[in-house]
Amino acid sequence: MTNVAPVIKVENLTHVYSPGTPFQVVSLDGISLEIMKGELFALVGSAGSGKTTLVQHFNGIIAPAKGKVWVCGVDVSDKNKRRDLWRKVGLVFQRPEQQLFEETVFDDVAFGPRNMGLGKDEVLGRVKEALQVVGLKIDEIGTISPFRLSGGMRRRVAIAGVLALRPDVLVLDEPAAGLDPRGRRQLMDHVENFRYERGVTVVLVTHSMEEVALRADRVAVLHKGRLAMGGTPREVFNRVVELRALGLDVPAPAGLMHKLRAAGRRVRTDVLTIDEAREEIAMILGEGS
Amino acid sequence: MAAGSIELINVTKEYATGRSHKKCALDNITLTINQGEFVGLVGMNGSGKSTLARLINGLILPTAGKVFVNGIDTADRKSIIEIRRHVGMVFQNPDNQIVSPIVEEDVAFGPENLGCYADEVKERIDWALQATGMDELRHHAPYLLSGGQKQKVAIAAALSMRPDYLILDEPTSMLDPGGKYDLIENLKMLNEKYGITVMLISHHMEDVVHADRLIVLDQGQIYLEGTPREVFSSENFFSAGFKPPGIVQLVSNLRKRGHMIDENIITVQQMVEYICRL
Ligand SMILES: Nc1ncnc2c1ncn2[C@@H]1O[C@H](COP(=O)(O)OP(=O)(O)OP(=O)(O)O)[C@@H](O)[C@H]1O
Ligand SMILES: Nc1ncnc2c1ncn2[C@@H]1O[C@H](COP(=O)(O)OP(=O)(O)OP(=O)(O)O)[C@@H](O)[C@H]1O
Ligand SMILES: [Mg+2]
Ligand SMILES: [Mg+2]
Repeated sequence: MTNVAPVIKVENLTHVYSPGTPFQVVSLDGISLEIMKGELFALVGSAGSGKTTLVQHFNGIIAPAKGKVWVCGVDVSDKNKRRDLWRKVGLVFQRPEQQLFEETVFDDVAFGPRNMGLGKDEVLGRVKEALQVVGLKIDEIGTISPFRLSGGMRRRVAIAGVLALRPDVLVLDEPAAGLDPRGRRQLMDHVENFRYERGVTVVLVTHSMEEVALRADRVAVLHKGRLAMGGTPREVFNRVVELRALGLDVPAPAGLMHKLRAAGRRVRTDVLTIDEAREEIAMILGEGS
Repeated sequence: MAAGSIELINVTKEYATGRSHKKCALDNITLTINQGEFVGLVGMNGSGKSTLARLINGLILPTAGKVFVNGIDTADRKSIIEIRRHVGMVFQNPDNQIVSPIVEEDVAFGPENLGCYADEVKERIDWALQATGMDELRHHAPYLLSGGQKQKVAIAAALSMRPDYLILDEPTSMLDPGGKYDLIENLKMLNEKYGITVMLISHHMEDVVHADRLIVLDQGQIYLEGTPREVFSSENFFSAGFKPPGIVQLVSNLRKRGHMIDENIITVQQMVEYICRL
């Protein structure tokens, strides 16, 4: 039973910003979904589609105004229970570098673990590990002020601060925006390791369709606060026309296949990776020669 | 020091990181960007991209060396306003750029300050808001928008200025695929139609495939420079941890398997055309 129970369950969730004013925005409109233990669940959608609003319900920053949200079996409309969610659910904010505030990089990453009441050695171990995951060396930048780092390095520090909590559920709101290609790869590889080694459940908000294709078990597409599509990446990325109409796209290999198909070539269109595209093209080239 | 160019001559930039510690962010860079060019700038976190951008619009000054914009020395502080007229900038963090509590006013700020007539201001705002898809939200408050929407406002504000040089520091980092596509198309248009010089900083190689020239920074130095195709096929590019766009990977993958497909292909469209010619 516990294995099949969803870690996050959202039922008919609606959220309205500035209700009753001329600038009222319905940012979530009747969303229902379930995210299972150990799953990597991707959330995509154009700017303003409601992704951040939705995931901020998952660690209790926003209380459900209409509808229900359960996280790890807890009904988050209960204020007291919502307050404790941060121990289980780590949320990496969109542009989390805005939230750095300590004097040194070390203190910033150590803030969460210290708050959990962990001992000195445990805090040190966790900070070291978290910084390593984001590709930073504790002896190089541990004593530096985070404000003296480049944008992408600050982002890494902020991510490390959440990883150091070792949460059961990791909610990442565009974590790799601003990370260099190597940093992005390393971060996502580590996130996958957390899943396999610790059974961590991951919710990933991203604009990278390639990342969804390579890493996600399932993906949900938001549009104007509604759930517009959902399924495995292979299912969703086969619906290229609909996706483009929502301001999204398919990964480049799939885009290529769809264009070749439109030009009359007999290729599979449900490819996700470069390797799969290569097989299809090798077939065409083989036939040609 | 010809007019119509940005010149960096032996530029070094050091930041103080403590009482006696310094960080060398740019190390003796010499670089010319000619008016009308479309330049892509990539590099790992901390390699010096934003520092370079801030030096060009005079926000910071070099520790050593000179930066000239159309022949004006950025160290000549009397000319700073003139330099800002020539060099428009989209900052890495859009919050640093928003000046007005209403989207429309924020986008109008640049052209109004340039002394454009009201008709012209209106035409530019309408165009920039349409081009970024922010038309519907023109009366909203920028600070209450989503991350990607804020980034679009910052882009619209810079586009509406139509400066000689447009420097965009990771403008696509929070854009959805459609927004990214629209931005690149608009930059190409401004570059071709108005001769606006574009310098686009990004971590996404797909964003810079159309650049005339691609510059790779590494630890404060120019590590590689050439056409995107040249850079993408360089061994040093791979060994520094970069990967070319997916289509370029696909082409080299096919070639390794013995399919002698044209190695100049760098976009999906080129690949489709190539295959359809067979
Ligand atoms: N205000 C500052 N004080 C001290 N050091 C700084 C400051 N700003 C940047 N640096 C340092 O200078 C170097 C270059 O930073 P810069 O912001 O130019 O990098 P970048 O290439 O833009 O990186 P990113 O991709 O992360 O935005 C980094 O090592 C950074 O830590
Ligand atoms: N604090 C706020 N006050 C008023 N409206 C808001 C606020 N935050 C977000 N909105 C609006 O709610 C809608 C959803 O915003 P949200 O931040 O959830 O989008 P998103 O999908 O995360 O977008 P992005 O990809 O740009 O981050 C948008 O129309 C946005 O303008
Ligand atoms: Mg968001
Ligand atoms: Mg930068």
